[in-house]
Amino acid sequence: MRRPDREHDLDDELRVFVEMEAEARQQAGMSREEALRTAALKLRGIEQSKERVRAVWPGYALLEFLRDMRIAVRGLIRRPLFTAVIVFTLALAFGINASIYSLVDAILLRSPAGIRNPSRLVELARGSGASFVDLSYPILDHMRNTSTTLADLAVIRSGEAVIGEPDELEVVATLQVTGNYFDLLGLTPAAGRFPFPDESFHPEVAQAVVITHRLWEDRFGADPAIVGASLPLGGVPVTILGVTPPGFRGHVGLLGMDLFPVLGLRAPGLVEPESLDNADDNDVSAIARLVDGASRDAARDELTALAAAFTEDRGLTARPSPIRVDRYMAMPAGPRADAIGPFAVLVVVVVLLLAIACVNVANMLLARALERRREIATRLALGAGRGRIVRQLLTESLVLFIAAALAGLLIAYWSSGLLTSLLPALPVPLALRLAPDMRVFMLTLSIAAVAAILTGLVPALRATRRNLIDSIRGDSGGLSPRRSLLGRSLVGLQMAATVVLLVGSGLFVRAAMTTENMDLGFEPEGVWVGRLDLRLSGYDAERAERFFGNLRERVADLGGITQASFSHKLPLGSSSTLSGLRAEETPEGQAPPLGADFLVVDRGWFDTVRMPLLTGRDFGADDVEDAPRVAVINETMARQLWSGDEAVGRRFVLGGAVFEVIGVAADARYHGLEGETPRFVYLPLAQQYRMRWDRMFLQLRAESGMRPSRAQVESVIHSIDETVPLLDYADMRTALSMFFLPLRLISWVGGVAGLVCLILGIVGIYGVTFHAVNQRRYELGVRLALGSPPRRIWTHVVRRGMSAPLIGVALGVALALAVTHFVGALLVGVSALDPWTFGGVVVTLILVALVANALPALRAARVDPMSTLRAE
Amino acid sequence: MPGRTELVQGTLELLILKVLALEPAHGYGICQRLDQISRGVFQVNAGSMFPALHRMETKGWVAGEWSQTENNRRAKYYRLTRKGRRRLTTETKQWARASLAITHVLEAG
Repeated sequence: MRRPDREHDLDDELRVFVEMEAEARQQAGMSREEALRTAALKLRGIEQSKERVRAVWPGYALLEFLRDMRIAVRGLIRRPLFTAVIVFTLALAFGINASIYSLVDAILLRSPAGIRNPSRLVELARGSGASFVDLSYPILDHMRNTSTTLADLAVIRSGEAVIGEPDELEVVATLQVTGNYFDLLGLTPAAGRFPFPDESFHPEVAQAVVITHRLWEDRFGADPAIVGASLPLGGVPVTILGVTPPGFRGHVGLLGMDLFPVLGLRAPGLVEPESLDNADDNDVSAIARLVDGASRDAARDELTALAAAFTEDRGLTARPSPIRVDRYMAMPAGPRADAIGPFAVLVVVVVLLLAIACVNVANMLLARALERRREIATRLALGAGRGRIVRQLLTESLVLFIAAALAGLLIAYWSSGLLTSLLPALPVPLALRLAPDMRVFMLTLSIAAVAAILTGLVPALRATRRNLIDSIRGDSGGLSPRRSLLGRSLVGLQMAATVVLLVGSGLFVRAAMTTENMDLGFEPEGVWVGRLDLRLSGYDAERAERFFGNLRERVADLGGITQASFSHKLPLGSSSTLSGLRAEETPEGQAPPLGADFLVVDRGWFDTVRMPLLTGRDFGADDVEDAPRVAVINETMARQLWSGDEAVGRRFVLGGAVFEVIGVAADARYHGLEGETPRFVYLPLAQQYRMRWDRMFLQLRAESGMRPSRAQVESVIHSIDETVPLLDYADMRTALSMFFLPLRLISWVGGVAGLVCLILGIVGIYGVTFHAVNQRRYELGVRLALGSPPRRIWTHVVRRGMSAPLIGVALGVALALAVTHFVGALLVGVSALDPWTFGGVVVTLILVALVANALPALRAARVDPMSTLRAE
Repeated sequence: MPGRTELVQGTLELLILKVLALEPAHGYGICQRLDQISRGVFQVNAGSMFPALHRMETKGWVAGEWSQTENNRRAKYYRLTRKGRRRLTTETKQWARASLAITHVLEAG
């Protein structure tokens, strides 16, 4: 039955009932009028009865919802300014939210497409808490064969490799895997085949690789004939076995792997098969799938016991340590532990922003609903149910929120490029998609729906309260103080939340500024950094020494370069640690053994990065392999070992060798921006080729204003050996930007969120005061007519309007004082109670509140007494 | 009104089924019949009877048809369908079992 017929029939049915009932009563002697009224009462209201009947009609709820939507959309279009302000402010908030969700999803959560049931996958490593240590192949193999909690386990090891002939070299990220890796993840090859689960180390696949669909398309034009063809890998020919499904670039979300050599393959840059046999070489990790029903805790207990027994059986030197079983996510468990803090802060900031926007909108909806009170009251009086009208008001709020969420998603989509540009060039290839995907889309819409109902409920309930008589009379006087109390509370709440958000963002902005200008102990500006890994090109120590010697000379010929040098890592990045340190004169065993961090550097390095030498000299051309071992140490180490005496000329023991101190360098930041300064030793590359020869960072100091290009540096390298790739090349600030990234990102997002919050604050306060003035126009008119000076009216209105913001700000400061210490660990160089930030936020917000109040107050003072009085 | 009882939710449907099992009736008629049969014990609330009728119509237990009353009015008459008859049988059995059990419990004290 179509809807109008159904309505029509229902109408007839109830009318006939009332008539029959009334007839019966008339026969019993009632007047017709009274009989009809009693009959209607028996139905408990005709309209209400209809509502109850409609509620049981199938599909009626949906129809009614759609009709409410139409009414809501029409109503909103009739008030374009109101609608635009709400949708715009909410869209900003939703846009920022969706961007951050996308960021978190892309970096932390989203597992690559095609992986079967990723929630049952786990990552294995040794250690507990914040410690993640690799495992050995034999122990993992043992686990795979004996574990009852793991359905399967694939051994993995990430690295880099060079593919192609010398004239078309390409560096790709690799993941060496056991044959069962693809099966474990549940992938189907796009072409060729994957290795069979037990084919690792098998001679037939031992020299085989799987390539990604990306590499297949970009490098080989998706040629199906590539399967079975030969590909040079670091100069060694290997066979292409198969191609991964489209979109798959390894199970790690962020790192785009392109080549999957089977473990056991022998080629430059890959782990040597012999090293895999050694149960003491911890150089691989694993991804595993839990048996149905097995928990991670059960797996951890079982694997820890297995590993302990294995270590004891084999008589291994490694101390037994617990095996950790971490949930598999796009970001591996190790870096995830560090990233969660900053990400949590970002999410809290944007959710807080959304909450503030919602409070703001609640206030506007309240104002609108109360303007319509007369209409609503009339409908209530005509028999519409309160639930019905509340539903209708909620539909309106839902329409607003969904429209805003869609607009916000568009903003997030357009601004994803902006967000990507905030991320610096990183030393690893990233497969980062920051545009919102389906998951973020659904999440944002769900949040919008929930927020719409939470936000719309209070105004809707408030506007449908049953004091019909007052409302129909339009007696706003009796209601306005309460309306303004609710409105003012909302403004206070909004201000309090704004203080918390602004203080939080302010602290991060201050911290970011502090760290960008921080004295690192060296000057990255003007230095260009290139990363080299000679192992990828099949070098050994001897060839490496010749190569670096050549490169040092030729790179100096590049125009605009004043200094060039090498180090095995970058300062501020990670450094390596050696133990067994003591001053030579201190007998062994007398003092507890110390450790020291070290960096292998070439001569001229201190000048290149401008790290000052306080006393002594830099390494020279004479400090070679056959000469006595020499070292430069940092201030802290000199102080600790020789307590202020001249350190140059002294000797110390480190890692079993004796070194003579030839210089003392000023302390610098070695790992990260925070923490104590460790003892630090610089060792000359010329004496350390046997230990460190493969991976070096080439560092060039350019004359000011000169920017040596990648191509220039590459051509110098290739003039020595065209098989050596320049892996990454950037200015040193960019190369080190990982360390500034979390603070920079949070301060950017926080800054934008803070600005939006300020705008929302202005809108909120302005709105409430504006309405208060509007409702009191009559009273103000009378006051003016009775001779009150406009100035006094102005101060009166502003003073009244300031109370809620002031209380809110005070509340917000108290809240902020209570919560900022949670982010203290992430703030570098700024106290969580930084008085400048707190003071600045309070002053700014009070000024904002004053301005937002002053404008409507001005309007109040300009009220024309005659026209307002006449209007009543 | 003393001596009158509000109907338990769900019971109303059973009673309507029973009334319609005798002959088809319109809303007002069902009301009258229930009053008579229960000798005024149940206060039939017309406000919940119509939703119940429409619910039962949706479930296919009753079917509505418009026809003339003896007073020459057009009214919607409800009649029991075969499905409704089956429903009435099972509900009646269930009711009998339940009320017997309750009686036993009460008498046991």
